[in-house]
Amino acid sequence: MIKRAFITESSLAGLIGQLAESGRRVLGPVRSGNRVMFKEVCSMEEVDIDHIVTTVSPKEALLPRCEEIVRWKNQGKETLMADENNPAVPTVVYGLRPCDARSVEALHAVYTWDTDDGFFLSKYDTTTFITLSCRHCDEHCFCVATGGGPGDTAGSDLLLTALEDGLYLVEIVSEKGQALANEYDSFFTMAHPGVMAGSGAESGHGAAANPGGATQSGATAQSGAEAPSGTTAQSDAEARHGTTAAPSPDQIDKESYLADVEKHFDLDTLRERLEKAFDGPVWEEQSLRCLGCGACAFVCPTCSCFDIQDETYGTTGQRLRCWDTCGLGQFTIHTSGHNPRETQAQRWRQRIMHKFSYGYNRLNITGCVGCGRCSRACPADMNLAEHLIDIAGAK
Amino acid sequence: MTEQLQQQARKLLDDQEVNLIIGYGEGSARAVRAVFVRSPEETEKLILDERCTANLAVYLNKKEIRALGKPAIVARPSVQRSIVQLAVENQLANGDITVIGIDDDGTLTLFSDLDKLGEHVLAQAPLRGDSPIASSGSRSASSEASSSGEASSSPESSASTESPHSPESPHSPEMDEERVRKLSSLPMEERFAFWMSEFAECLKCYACRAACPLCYCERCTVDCNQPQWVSVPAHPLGNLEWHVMRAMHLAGRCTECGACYDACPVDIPLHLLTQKMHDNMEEAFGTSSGEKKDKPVFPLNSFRPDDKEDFFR
Amino acid sequence: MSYPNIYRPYLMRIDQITEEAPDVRTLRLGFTRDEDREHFSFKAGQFGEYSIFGEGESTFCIASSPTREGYIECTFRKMGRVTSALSMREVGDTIGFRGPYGSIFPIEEWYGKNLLFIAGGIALPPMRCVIWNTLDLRDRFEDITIIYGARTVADLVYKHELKEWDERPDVNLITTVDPGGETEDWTGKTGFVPTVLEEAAPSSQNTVAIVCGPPIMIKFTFPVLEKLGFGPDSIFTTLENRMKCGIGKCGRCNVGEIFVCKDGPVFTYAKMKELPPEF
Repeated sequence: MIKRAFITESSLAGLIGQLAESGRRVLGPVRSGNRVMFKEVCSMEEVDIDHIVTTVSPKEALLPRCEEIVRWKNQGKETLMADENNPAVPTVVYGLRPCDARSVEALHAVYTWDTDDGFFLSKYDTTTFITLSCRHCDEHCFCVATGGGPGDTAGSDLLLTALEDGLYLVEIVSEKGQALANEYDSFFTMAHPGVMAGSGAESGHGAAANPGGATQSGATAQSGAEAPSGTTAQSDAEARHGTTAAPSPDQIDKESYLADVEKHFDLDTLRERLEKAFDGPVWEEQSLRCLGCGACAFVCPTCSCFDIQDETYGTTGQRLRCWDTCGLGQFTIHTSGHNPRETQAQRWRQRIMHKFSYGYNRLNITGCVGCGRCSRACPADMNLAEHLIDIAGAK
Repeated sequence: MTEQLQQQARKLLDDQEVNLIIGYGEGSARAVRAVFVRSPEETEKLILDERCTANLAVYLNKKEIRALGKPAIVARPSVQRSIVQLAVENQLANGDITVIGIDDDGTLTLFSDLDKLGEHVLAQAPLRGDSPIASSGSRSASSEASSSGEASSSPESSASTESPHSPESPHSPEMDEERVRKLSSLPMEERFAFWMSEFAECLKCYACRAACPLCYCERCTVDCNQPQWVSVPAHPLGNLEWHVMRAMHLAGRCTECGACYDACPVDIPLHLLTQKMHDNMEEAFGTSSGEKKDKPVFPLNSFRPDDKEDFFR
Repeated sequence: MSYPNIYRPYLMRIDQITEEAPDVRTLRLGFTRDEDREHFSFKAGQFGEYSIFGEGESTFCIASSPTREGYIECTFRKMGRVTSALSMREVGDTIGFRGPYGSIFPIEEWYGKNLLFIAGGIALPPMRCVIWNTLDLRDRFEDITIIYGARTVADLVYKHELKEWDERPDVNLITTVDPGGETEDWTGKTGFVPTVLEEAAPSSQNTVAIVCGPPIMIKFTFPVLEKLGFGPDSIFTTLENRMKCGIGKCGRCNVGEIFVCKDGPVFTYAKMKELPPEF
């Protein structure tokens, strides 16, 4: 069972500040005009909370749009290999959505099947995802149909759900999440601060100011009744408020705080139909208005295809891995001019088949988490959910 | 207005004058989208309202659409300008398309003669919605052309309908001009810093290129690698190179529809660059885009032995 | 935890350059580090990513036989950015190589069988690896027939080796050039590969066919082979799709569910029939 705790808004801000101070790279959603992007932040004040999902997904934490994978130096006629300048900086990604976190599993599958990709894995190993579940959704969200949901824990290390009055439910999903909770245990509490009100302690801060009273390592992981510090806090509270104790984290009905995302289609039906859809007319019909750009893929959290490009600066050279996409006509073109996927219909089919059929059959992953970014970004209103319903039939 | 358009479209298809209608239909989340109507029954899908601002002319270049046969295209003023510019650049010839022109006052006019469309644009909807008689100095050349065009203008069929709502656009021409003015007034370092920070967000998805009716090259310079003119990755230098190249290639050709900006997933106001280039071109050469002239001038594409600059002689 | 860099190439020295045909050359590459040479092994059919630092990587098969140890060879036509740069390199220069990648020709399963090699144009290199591999183990196979065609006489690659094979009593070599591609002293056949194959009509009894060529040649050759009685399981070919990583990550060489770089490049015709036509 996933372990739970509470964190208050002010403690959360404190945690983010301390994480940044600890030397970690903290990435959070930052707004600039109409775009909200994951940027390095030092404090919660920089973080935007008024968005459904960020404009571009947080996959850049693990798969930068451009990264060095080989470096060399030229000495006269000789080439010497050098160490790549591509370190994995310990990172915390804060404020991604459950759909984004789920996408990490899809990326992981691609970059670890058959051969481990060290550049991806070293970043994956050193990144902790603190996810915010969704209280709101919009008409482009379809996470439920792809197997996720507004409070899905998959891929997250910690999942926060906003309750009320600046209080968050914390779910400790993974070992990485547990390690972070242990390291910063003073910010978390097992006691509902509503009960503690009046003690002058804004839970986290109070605890932080009083390390002796803070939870011990692993304490947040346990239910309030068993946690030593929780017991202390709760017995304090009980002393103050009698026996009508406020709910423990485990008693919170998380679902009641989540957005209501409908299930647009049935994933199994979609897969079944795709098995027989390769030669169908649907691809040409759907892709007529597609303009053949890469906006959908580059905002997508699960698109993982890349190009490799060399660049030289003086006597130093670098081989770079950079994002690429099957939507662009150049992607598969041979030097001879022959192109296995010559038309946009073929490329659109590849995109859908790869996400919902090939990837599932091959790696047991669905290459889509229903975040809807592609549909929001598309200049031609290629609405992915609509196209999938078109194939699978409405649920 | 929608009804009249649907009737017109049905007639074109019934008479087999065209094989498809490129128009607007209902999209997702209150948006509109391009629809490709191939049978008289399907004309019910066509709509026309204030949301229909996307530049459909981009589909005239798309191989898959061309394969469907001769199109008629629903053309608001911005689309008309793009079509005229495509004709000026010999990308469209008379007979290739039928234009269902929809002016800002709701007038629907059919054009199969692109020269006539050119005259109509000069008379009705020159760039940036200026009146046909241009106010600023360098535009006088084009306004002369427009007044002569107006005289001979005789649209093939014309009908007036109720006036549409003013186009609802995230970027009005006035706002854009104001932004260009503001940016131009900044010191060069600040301007450069502004653009570098905007370009830093560029994903190199090429939505701007894909959405532009005038980016019709079979093979874009960024896709050529012998030599590699433009760095492929979306790093600061590569992004700068792309946007500079794009602006230069559209200098004086851009008809300022704003489709590039609308298409940009990360909201880079890259249309301001081409707008500024347009001003520069007007200032330096007295040329404007989206206007059909007898002898079009392409200052950046043509060489004359008597050029006043001697660096490339 | 630290991971090995799967994208870092071996540094290879160009030991020998052979001009094969206009714009076609073969490079013999030696490892610059002894430990790399000792570590390295490959099997017939596999490919690699060859790189010119600063220009990029290009995908070709290893054209030499695994029975010839200590070096690898690649044969390429000057076409794009990397191959143009490769063709400028001289003996002694250093280039990069990653590999070997991909599936293999199941040579051991062919012991005791007749082998029919059919190749067209620049597609002989992937087959040359198998040909030398089997010739170096000659006594394990029955009859070996090679049908090789090119557009013109000049376009035939490995001219010295063709001569050597032609002179060997244990190899039946048939060379052909497209009509109009012959020279006055041309002693081979004139005609397209599928036609020449049909005329030669080699027996399909206990025979495997290995076919490499441009898509159009493949398309017309398979039906002829089927007519001659070859089952789809005894016809082998090697596919080429554009690749970048070579290890199933970059996502561009897939044909339906399969990755040419991981599941291929060697496929039977039976397997190819199951694939969508995206190659």
